[in-house]
Parts: sequence; C-alpha cells; structure tokens
Amino acid sequence: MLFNSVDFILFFPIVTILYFVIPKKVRYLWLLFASYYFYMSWNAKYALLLLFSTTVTYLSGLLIGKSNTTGKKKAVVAASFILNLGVLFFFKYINFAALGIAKVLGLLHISANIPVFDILLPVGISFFTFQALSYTMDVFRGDIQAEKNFFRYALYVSFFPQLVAGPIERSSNLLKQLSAPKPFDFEKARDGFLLMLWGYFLKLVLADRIAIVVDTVYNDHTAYTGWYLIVATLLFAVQIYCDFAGYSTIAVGAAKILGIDLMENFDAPYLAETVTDFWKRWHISLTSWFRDYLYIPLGGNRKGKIRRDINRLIVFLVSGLWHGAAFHFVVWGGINGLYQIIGGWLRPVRERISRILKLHPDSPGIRILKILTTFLLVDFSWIYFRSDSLHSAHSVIASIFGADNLWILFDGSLYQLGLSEKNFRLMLVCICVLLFADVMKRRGICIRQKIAEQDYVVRWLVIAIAIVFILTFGIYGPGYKAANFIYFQF
Amino acid sequence: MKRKILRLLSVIACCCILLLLLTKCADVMRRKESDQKYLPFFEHADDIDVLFMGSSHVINAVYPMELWEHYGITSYNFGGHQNQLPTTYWVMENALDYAEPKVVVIDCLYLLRNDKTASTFENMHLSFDAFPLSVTKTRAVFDLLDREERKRRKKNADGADTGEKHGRLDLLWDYSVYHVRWEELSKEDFVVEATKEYGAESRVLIAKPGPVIKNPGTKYEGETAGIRYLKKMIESCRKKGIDVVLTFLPYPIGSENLWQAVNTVYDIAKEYDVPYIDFYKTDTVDLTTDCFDADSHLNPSGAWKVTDHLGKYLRDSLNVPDHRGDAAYRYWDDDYAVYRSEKLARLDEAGDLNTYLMLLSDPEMEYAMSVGDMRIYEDEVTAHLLAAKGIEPSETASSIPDIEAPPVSEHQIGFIVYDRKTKEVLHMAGFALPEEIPEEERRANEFGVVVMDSYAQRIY
Repeated sequence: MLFNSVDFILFFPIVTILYFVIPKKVRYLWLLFASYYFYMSWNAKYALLLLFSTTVTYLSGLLIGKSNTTGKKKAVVAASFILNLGVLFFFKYINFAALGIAKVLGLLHISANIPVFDILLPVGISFFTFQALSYTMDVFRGDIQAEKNFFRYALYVSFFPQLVAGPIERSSNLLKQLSAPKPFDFEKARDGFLLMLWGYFLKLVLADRIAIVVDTVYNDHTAYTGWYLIVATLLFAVQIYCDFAGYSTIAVGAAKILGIDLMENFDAPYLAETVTDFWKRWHISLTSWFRDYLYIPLGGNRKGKIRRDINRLIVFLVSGLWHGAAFHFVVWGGINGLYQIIGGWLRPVRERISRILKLHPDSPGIRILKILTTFLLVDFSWIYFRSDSLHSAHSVIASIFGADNLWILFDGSLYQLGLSEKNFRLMLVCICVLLFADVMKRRGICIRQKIAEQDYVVRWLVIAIAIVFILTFGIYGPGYKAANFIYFQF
Repeated sequence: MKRKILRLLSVIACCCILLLLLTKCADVMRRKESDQKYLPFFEHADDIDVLFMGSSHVINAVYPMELWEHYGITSYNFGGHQNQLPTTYWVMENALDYAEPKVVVIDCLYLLRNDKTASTFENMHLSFDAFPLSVTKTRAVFDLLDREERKRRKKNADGADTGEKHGRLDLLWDYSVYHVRWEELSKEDFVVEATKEYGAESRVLIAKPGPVIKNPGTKYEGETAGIRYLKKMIESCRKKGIDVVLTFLPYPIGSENLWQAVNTVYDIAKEYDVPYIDFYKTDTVDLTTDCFDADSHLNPSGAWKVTDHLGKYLRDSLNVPDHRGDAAYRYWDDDYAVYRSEKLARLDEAGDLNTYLMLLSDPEMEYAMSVGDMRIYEDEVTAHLLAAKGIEPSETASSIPDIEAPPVSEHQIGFIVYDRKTKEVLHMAGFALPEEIPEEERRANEFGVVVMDSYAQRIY
C-alpha cells in the first residue's frame, strides 16, 4: 500500500494504537505481522523473497558468530552476498544483462536468440536486500552481535515504514531499538506527525503536481523542445527531491510515532556547494551504505589518488545500476562520479583562481554561485535519470543546447503543460516554501521545533490548517492516477 | 495525569478544528448540481407527501411544481440520471431518513437490469452528494459498490471515458473528488441557489420518436437485481406505512426486453397488491410531439400530460391532500412563482414555431394565433400540437374563446399568450416561414436526435 493511499491512512493508526496497547514483550511480533501485511498488499507472493533474504542473512549472522576463523566467516559473508544479490540480479537485472550480451554479440556479428523474461520487479527489493546485507557485514566486522531472535531480526528487515523505499537502516541503529520498545512519547509522536505532514506536502502537493508538467514534456520531448525541456529538467530536479524526500520523511515520521528513530535521508541537498557535498546530503542512507560496504572495502582513499578516483567511479556506476537496470542510469551514476573526480583534480586550480581574483570563498555571493553551479551540474545529470534511454537523453540535451524559444516563458505556453495558470503559480509558491524550509534547516533552525514551542492553540491550529492545505492542494483522488513513488522500482 | 488529560483534550480540540475546517471547505468545494437539485427537499422535507423515484425518465416526466399548482400536492422528484433500481432503493432510503411521505411512486424502467450503479459515476455523485454522511448513506455506498459491482464496473470499463477511479470513499467523502475545484470557485459555490423544479428537469426540444415495436406480451421469469430491489422498496415502504404506486412511464419502446419489463411489473404489483400505472395503456402522451429524444425521455409537453395524469390518480385514488391555501405551505406558492417565471423565460428562448407551440401546451397557458401562411399546417408536428389545444387549421385560431391575435403579414404567424385563469397577457411572439420550404428529410444532430423544429423561425 502506498503512503498516500486510504489503506495506509487506516492501517497506520490501527497499527500504532495496538502497538502501544499490547505488552512490550510482544510488540515486535505485532509490528512484524503489520509489516508483512503492508508488503503483501502489493504482491503476496513476493513476501517469500523478503522471507528468503531474511532467513539467509539471519543464518549468516548466526554462522559468522559461531565461526572461529576469518576464512569461514568470509565464506559465509560471500554466500550471503551471492544468494541475496543473485535474487536481486534475477528479478532486476536479468533482462538488462541479456540485452547487454545481445548487444555485445551483435557487435561481434553473432546472432543469438536471447530470451526476455517477463518478471514483475518486487517492490523495494533493492532496499531490503541492501539492509539485510548490511547486517551480514556488520556481524562480520564485529560491529554488532548476531541477533538470536529470528522474528525480531525479520522485523529489522521488514519494518514497514522504511521497507519499500528506505531509509536503508543499519542494524546497529534499528535492531537495537526494536529490541527495546519505548513507551508512548507524546512530544515524539507529535514531532513524527509533523514530519509526516511535511512528507505528504512534498509528495502530494509538490512532487505529484510537478510530475504533471515534467511528464507532459519528457513523454513527448520531440514536440516540446528547447526551453520547455529546460523548464521541465529544472522542475524534475525538484520533483525527484520532493518525491523521494517526501517518502523518506513520511517513513521517518511514522517510525518516530512508533518510538523508533530512523536516520535522516536528505539534508537540504540542493544547497550543497559541491557535488561531493551534494552526495553527503542526498539519499544519505544509500550513499553511506556504498561508502561503508563498497568504497571502503575497495580500499577507499587509502591506496593513492588514482585508486581513490577509480573506487569513486565504481561506487557511482554501481549506484547508477542500483537505481535502475538500464544504461542511462549507469551513465547518470558515472557522470556524478566524474564530477567528483574532476572536481578533485581541479580543486587546486579553483583555489589558485580564487587567490588571483581575490575572491572570498565564504562570501554569500560566491556561496550562492557555488550552490547554483552545483545544482546545474546535478540537474544536468538528472536528464539521464529521467530519460527513457541514452538516445532520448542525448536528444533532450541537444534540444536544450539549441534552445531558441525563450518566449514560451512569457506567452503563457507553460500553462499548457497540464497545469493551469493557478496551479502552476501554486507550484512555484510551494517550491519557495521548500527552499525556505531548506535554508532554515541549513542554518540549523528546526521549523518543527519552532511550531512545537508555540502556545497549544497556535500549534494545533497550524497542524489543522496544514492538513486542510494538503488535502485541498494535494494531487490525489479519482480522475487522477496517483503516481507511484518514483523510488519504488529501485 | 492532569497533563495527560490536557494533552488528550488538545488533540480532541485539534480534531474538532480540523473537522470544522474540512466540513466548511467540503461545502464550498463540492460541485453544486446535487445541492441545487435537492436543497428544497432538505428545507421542506417534513411537508412532502409524495416522492417520485426512478431514473432520468422520472426527472423529465414528472413536475412537482405543476402538481402543486393544479392539485395542491406536495411532492419531490428523486429521479436520478441512469439510476438503476438498486440505486433508486438507496436514494429512497436516504430520503426517508428526512421525509415521511404518504406515497412513493416508483418507475420500473430498469426492472430487468442487473447493474447496481450508473455507468457514469458522476451520476452517482449527483444522486448522493447532497445527502450528509450517515449510517444509511454508508450502507448505501457499501451495498451499491460491493465487490461484485466493482468487478462488473471494471470489466465493463464503466467511466473509463472520464478516467474516473470509482471508490466507495469518493461517495462517502466527496472532498477527495472535489478538492481540485479550488481553482474554479465562484460566487455560486458560496451561495447555493437551488432550482425550483423540485428535482425535475425540463428538456425543451421535440425529437422524432424512434420506431415502436409491438408488445409481444411475454414476461421475464427469472430474478434480476432490479426486481430484487423493487421488492425491497415496496417492503420498506410497507414497513413505514407508505403507499406505493408503480409506474412505467411512456416513451417509444423499441426492444422486446423493455416490453417484458412493462409486462413483468404486473406480476410484482399483483404479488404485493400495489397499484401499477402502465402508461402504455393510458394513451396519455403523443409521441409525435412529446419526446425529447428518440427512445427515452419526454419533453415538457409530455411531462405536463404525465404529471396531470399522476395528479389525478394521487388525488382521486389515494386521497393525497390538497394543501393550497394552507398558510403553512405558502412557500410552495413562492417557489412556484419562481418556477413560473422560469417557464415563461423559456418562451423567449424558443427559436421556432414547433418548440414554441410545444411550450404552449402548458395547461396554464392559452393563446390566440394569426396565420399568414397556411403551409404551417402541412408540418405534422405543428398540426399535432395545435390539435392538442383543439385548434383547427384556419387563418386565425385561438385556444381561448372570443380573443384574436392581431393580423400579420404574409408568411408570418403571430401569437398572444394568456394565462388560462387570469387572462393576463403572458407573452407575444412572431414567426415567419421562408418562401421555399426545404423538401429533404431532417437530419440527426450530433447526439443522434432528429430535431423536429419548424421551418417557421422566430422573428420577434
């Protein structure tokens, strides 16, 4: 079930109320039941995959704990990775691999009839597989003890708020909290509720509204050229942020109401001043997963600059592949890797230029310039992410660089892209609200905290008005096909 | 403990504020058609003696305001577009939460259908939106949109043309549908002005009727959702002490299945010992002049006749009281005055002679006519409409004794319209025939209706 479905609006309060009513000792069992119900509402059969991944990593944890040699432990880790990634490969990458083989054979003029499998991608498989594997690695590294209670561990892998789209949690954080349930905390629940509201605002009011414009343009990018594509590409950057951050925020808020703290997944990413900084603020749980379980095992930055750069590139290529089984995702990842590598190389040059021109890197103007440059670089890479194929992406880029229809920004053409003038303006206002919130966050001001500090009348009035605002201006309801959260397919 | 209670109270207060805000917003955002149609019912539900239930056939064929004017009967038309009998049952149940009528008149058009809901989901909204959320409304939504019906709708792709997603929630909480209207709000959304037709809808047009087939005399032997719910309606009324009258309103029947329905109602009427007015045996309407479309609805000319027939029946056979002159019912006169002005305004809009004459078949109106072109009598529809008022072909004709219309030029037709009771002049109009009348057959319009307008067009 989607977070923006009626099912979830009914499901979540029932789960929460019963969670705090039943004895602490069995609460995890109730959450486990609820989590599997949540997952099975998409496709009941695919819960077996979840169970498989859970069982393999649970057993791997026990075996690692019992093994007394590093060799044995490594063998268990390898087995766990092969089994989990094998399932992920089959369900997500088999057709991509087949296509790749066919292309290579085609280049060699060898004809082969490579079958295409009709497989429905299990929701959230990349997320729970990575979360489960992190447990194997953490036990192997000795960061945590192997969990003995299978059901508690199963809850760690399947905890419903973050099951299908993250944040990808670490066993050291989540498993510990699941073992020691806390009593109902009113302040925490209110904070979680405010977080959920913010998440719904991002998803329903912003992401799904922007999606209408972006989809109109990108789905017919040969008809909508030049500045249409520039506007759509700029908006897509906001859409994907609101979509993904919206989901993550709802997840963090829902978990918080249940008394569980999940890691923050986004930290005002578009206010980053470098691409490296952006990746520290974007999809933090995934970036840190790759850092801890891929980049560092590859050698990180310990083996010289060239190896560091190669490792970075590998991480981002894999990250691209994680996001989607297609070449344009790989290129997207590669571009982001290259940005950072080239950025590293050019750093001394940039610093020298700054010195010569007597620029102050920390002055507000320069910082804004850096933020804008970073945003444009990241947004350029989003073209590959949003396009259906490499060919489409290149066509979009060519059209953008040949843009010669600037008038569409002024003659009302933008209001013909699926959103009326009023709706378009509302979208712009809401983007400003988002920008304001991120600037506040960057300055260390927590708006939720500010609301909580108000008199209770103001506090509850703000909450009530926020709910009405979302219900009124959100994109949902009949006649509207609720766009699935973009990140579900990754 | 005190802190906990305070917190609980603050949460409750927040929920109350939220509910208040949402209710107010929902009232403003809601599409107003349903409110406009049913507002008078909610205002005067206690005073209503007769409810008319059924589909759009009822909407177009029964005028409560005419029943008031001519019989003093207080009634409301609860016909709904595409309403199947299960929907009609639930509309009635909801209406009976507010009203205690003496008689419920049920039209049995969709007797042999198994669908529970209208194929266009918007029509469900039209029928239910005006009813506040209640247990009955919730039961209605859950019954009408049960698993089987939802499966059927999906299979038939009902509503696919409008891209609607049909859900129970959308009927129970229509804010999920109408919240998108924030960008089209206007004064009408804040100040609801109800129509004064009391649920009826006048459709001004004369259509060429479709071919009528002979009644084969057969009956349907099995059971359908329509039959099941018709029986439920009768039983429900019985329990509440309400008289039931079954009808099959007239229109050109072109299928055996519909004749089967007409015939099958006799069995149900007999089983429950309720009266059945089979309009196909009453010769009430003239299909040449009284159809709004080829094979279903009546125009005002037909509706006045059907309404009059029902009025007589309700008065004579069921002793439904006449409330005219009763001070407590004075607002019905006020509403009738508005309704009457709307009727008269339609005379201004009639662009051709036949439409004008059709509107003059209103029992309240009489007229005198000067004819400057005798060719108007060659039009079959014109001839029928004049004959219905007792007018023979001549250069000056009048449906009212001793009054003549002023003379007109060649090819022109002039009218003076009077109030039947007061003889007050209500309207004047003139039409002119072209020198050459086209000989070809009239063609169907974009909706497939052959419109029987006269070639005599309005000149003043």
